[in-house]
Amino acid sequence: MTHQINPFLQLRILILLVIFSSIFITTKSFSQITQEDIQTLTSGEIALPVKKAILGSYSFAKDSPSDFKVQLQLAKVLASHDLHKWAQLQYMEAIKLNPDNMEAHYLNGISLELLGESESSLAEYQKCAVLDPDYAPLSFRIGELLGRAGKIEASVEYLKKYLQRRPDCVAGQRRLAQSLVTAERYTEAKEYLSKVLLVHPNEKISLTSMATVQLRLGNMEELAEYQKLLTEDGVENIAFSLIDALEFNVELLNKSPNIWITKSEEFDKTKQFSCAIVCLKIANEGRPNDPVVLDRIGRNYFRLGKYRKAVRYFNRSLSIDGSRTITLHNRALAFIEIGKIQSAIQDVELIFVLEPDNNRSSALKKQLDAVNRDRR
Amino acid sequence: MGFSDVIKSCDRLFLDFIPKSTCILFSRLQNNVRVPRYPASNLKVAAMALISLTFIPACSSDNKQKPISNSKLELNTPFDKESLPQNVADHTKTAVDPWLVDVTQQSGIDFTYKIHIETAGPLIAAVGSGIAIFDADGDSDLDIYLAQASDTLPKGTPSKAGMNRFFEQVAPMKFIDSTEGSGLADEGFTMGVASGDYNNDGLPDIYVCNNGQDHLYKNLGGGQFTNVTIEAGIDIQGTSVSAGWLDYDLDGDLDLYVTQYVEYDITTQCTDAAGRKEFCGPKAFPPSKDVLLKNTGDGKFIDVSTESGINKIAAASLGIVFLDQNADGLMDIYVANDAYANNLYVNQGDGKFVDLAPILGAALNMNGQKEAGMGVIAADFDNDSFLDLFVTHLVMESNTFYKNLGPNIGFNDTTGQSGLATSSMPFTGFGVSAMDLELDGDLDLFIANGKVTRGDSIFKCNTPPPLTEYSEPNHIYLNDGSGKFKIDNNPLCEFSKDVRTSRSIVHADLDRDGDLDLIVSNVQEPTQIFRNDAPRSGQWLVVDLLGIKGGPVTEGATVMAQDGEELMTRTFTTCKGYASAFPAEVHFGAVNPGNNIEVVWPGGIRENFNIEKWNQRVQLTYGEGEKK
Repeated sequence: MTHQINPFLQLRILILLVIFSSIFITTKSFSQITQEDIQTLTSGEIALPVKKAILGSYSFAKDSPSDFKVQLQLAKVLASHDLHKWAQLQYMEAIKLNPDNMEAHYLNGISLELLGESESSLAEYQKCAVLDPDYAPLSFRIGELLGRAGKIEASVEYLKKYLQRRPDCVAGQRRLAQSLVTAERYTEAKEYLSKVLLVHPNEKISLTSMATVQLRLGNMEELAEYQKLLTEDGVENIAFSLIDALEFNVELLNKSPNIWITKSEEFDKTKQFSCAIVCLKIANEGRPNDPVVLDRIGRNYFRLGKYRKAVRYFNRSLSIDGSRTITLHNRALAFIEIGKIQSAIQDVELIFVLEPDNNRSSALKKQLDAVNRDRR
Repeated sequence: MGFSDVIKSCDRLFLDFIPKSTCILFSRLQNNVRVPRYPASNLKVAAMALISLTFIPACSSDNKQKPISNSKLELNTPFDKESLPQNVADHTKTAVDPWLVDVTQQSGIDFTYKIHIETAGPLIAAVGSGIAIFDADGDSDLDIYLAQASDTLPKGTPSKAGMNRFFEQVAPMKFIDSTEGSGLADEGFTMGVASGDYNNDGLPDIYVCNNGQDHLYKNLGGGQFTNVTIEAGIDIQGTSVSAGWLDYDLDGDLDLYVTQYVEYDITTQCTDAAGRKEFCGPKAFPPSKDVLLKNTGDGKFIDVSTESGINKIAAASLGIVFLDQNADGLMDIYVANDAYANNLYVNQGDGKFVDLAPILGAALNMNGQKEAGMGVIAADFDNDSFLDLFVTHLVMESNTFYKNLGPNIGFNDTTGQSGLATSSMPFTGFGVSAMDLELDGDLDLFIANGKVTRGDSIFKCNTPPPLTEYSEPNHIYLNDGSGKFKIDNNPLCEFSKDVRTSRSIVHADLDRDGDLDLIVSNVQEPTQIFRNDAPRSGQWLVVDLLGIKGGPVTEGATVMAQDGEELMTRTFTTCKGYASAFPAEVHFGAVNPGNNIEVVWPGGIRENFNIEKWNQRVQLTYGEGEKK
């Protein structure tokens, strides 16, 4: 006699098996930081708001062991309070759930760096470079770590890669110049320091490095000039930081888009347009439907000479608010640069439909009218 | 090493603790010796070998009778030879034996730098404890003076336990506490110590850096000192950490530079990012300005900090060294600052100094960042005759190696290229010593580590609270002769097996056997003495310099010796490392030693001296050499 198993029962057994196995797997995957660890961590002198933040994130992570975002969030909270050893363990948990997530690897790399584990950190950044080769700060970080490890020439190459993506970023220019000094490539160092000093003429570290470079190149008159500059009033230490989303990931948790818009304005003033774009993109994450932010991103792309990208952001801005005459004006300028004169004329015409007395665009209108007449 | 030697060394050392097979396999790995296979599976033995690598510190066998090395018997030592077998070095050891043996217990040094956080407050407790090694009583052996944190601050009533201690050496590596009656029982909250003969009477005097009033102790001879602070006109009331003696004005007497840390306020409270109470960093307080005291030659000092330009800068200064950066015969001053740019005060020759550290590339690291400078060494690590700088730093900052490119060219941060960066990143370095451990003609590095903030990584240790989470192992870096270093703790396990909160480290040939031993001060745990038992690659020479009346001082002189084609350059100075005073003598190790010794005296006068042989101590007197 053969037993026939009810197909419905079979399905139920299968479902139960899947549930049990998933419980087993997920419980196992959430095992690096134990309840006991968390109790120890929060039972000491740790401040009450920190305790609350950790316990809250841990409770979510415990309840959703297979939720990558929740697991990553716990790691970020730990990292934001300098508990990097624990954060690093938790990043590893998150990575198990989503091995190809660049953000988790990158933040893990930062925690490893802060724990002094330079080699492991470098390995994490190199994984990130495979996952997202376009993320500029990776080149910077890899360049820095290689420099620390004494591989100066390789470090220089990575820092140059960073500058290919952020050509006007003074943090990168200054850092590369310093590596070039270490590599005893003084003429090149001078070139990058000049770029920094063009933006920040009173920046102490670059002035000092420039003096060192002039000394080692034997340019004694120039050295004297820089020495004199260093004694003048207004010479200041300026901390240049990398401006990229993941660099500020933890800060982002608590900061409003307004802060990033203000930061972008600071970069605007010093003509570091690529850095301003990064800030505005962070602001855009918080305010995805803000036409002003999108317009500003477009404007900065325009200043960088990336007109097609600029048009794309102006389009997005106008799709949210088609009556923004300033964005129409900007888009018209970008259209001119890419040779789409007719589109530019249409934008300017629309400006005057919306605002017949618009003064800002009148000169542009005259210019375009002239071009149009010539064409006819 | 042949197979039979391996078996012999393993028989001798390992039987009590580790299976002989494991030892032999390890020796085989170390020395590439072919040994017959043992019946146990290779995997099992390899695993045991790995375990034994972890526990090699257990290999030490201090209580065993040590054979006396031949080199020891040839010494012109000041000690009674009969006392030698009690506590002497064994240089017949193999690569698997500990090269540095902890002999604290047998030494008679029973001293713990004790902090009292409730009275010391949130910063000073973490700064720690200087050491002075000098011949206090003129009997040719070295004595030890140890800084103690007072249990009261700064004007309370001190207890006996809060006084500095003076240990007199009575036999090789045997010390007795001679504090009482010596006049050296300073009651202040001491952090650093400096030794130098300020009154040119041939006896080293002691300067004590306190949080509060500093003190100058004049050496009366025979191990007796008297406090002459007031008569000398010294009134430094700040937070002094290091001090050093130099003749900056070449007038034939020693002037004094004292680093000042911060304007300390005991009521300040600090927390870490997680809100836990933590030792404050220097930025929690206003930084202080250093002090330069000019010796007027009549036993008095005047404060020349303003006219010299030294006090234009306020930075949280800790370590200090002197070097002649531009080879003009004048001593320049390099100061390691905690969280501020370092200073290199270049002596202008007219009593003034100009800080050229930024332009000469010695102020910041290669990333243009200020670091938390603690201890500092100026030494020629790559035998190119230029003194390089090595500065110890906080966790997440590597210790920094500034390679000297030459006079007036300056320094490049070549920490990474020198192999000193990544391994030091997770540690907080304080004390540093550069010495030739195995007499192979180059300077190796010894770092005393100990955290100032808890951080995350916790090493297993016996340090009592509240410093349990601050302890970490010390480090040894062996120089390959070209200024490239490799961290190498395995064969030297005793030095770094104990995880403590270390602060100062000083080297000295305590047992006068020709190699340099180490003394390490720890916070809340006993000060340790390590005897150098490293196998010797070459010969040794200790040079003592003697000045004459009216001639230059000896402090700051450069001494050069040949090792084959290599020219080794050393500075005759007591001021280096962290908050400490090293013995006034220069030590060389060399594989192919030459007989010519060149001395460049402060001021630039050069003399050549011919010595007959190495493996001895020589005294070179100013004016008795051949002028160059």
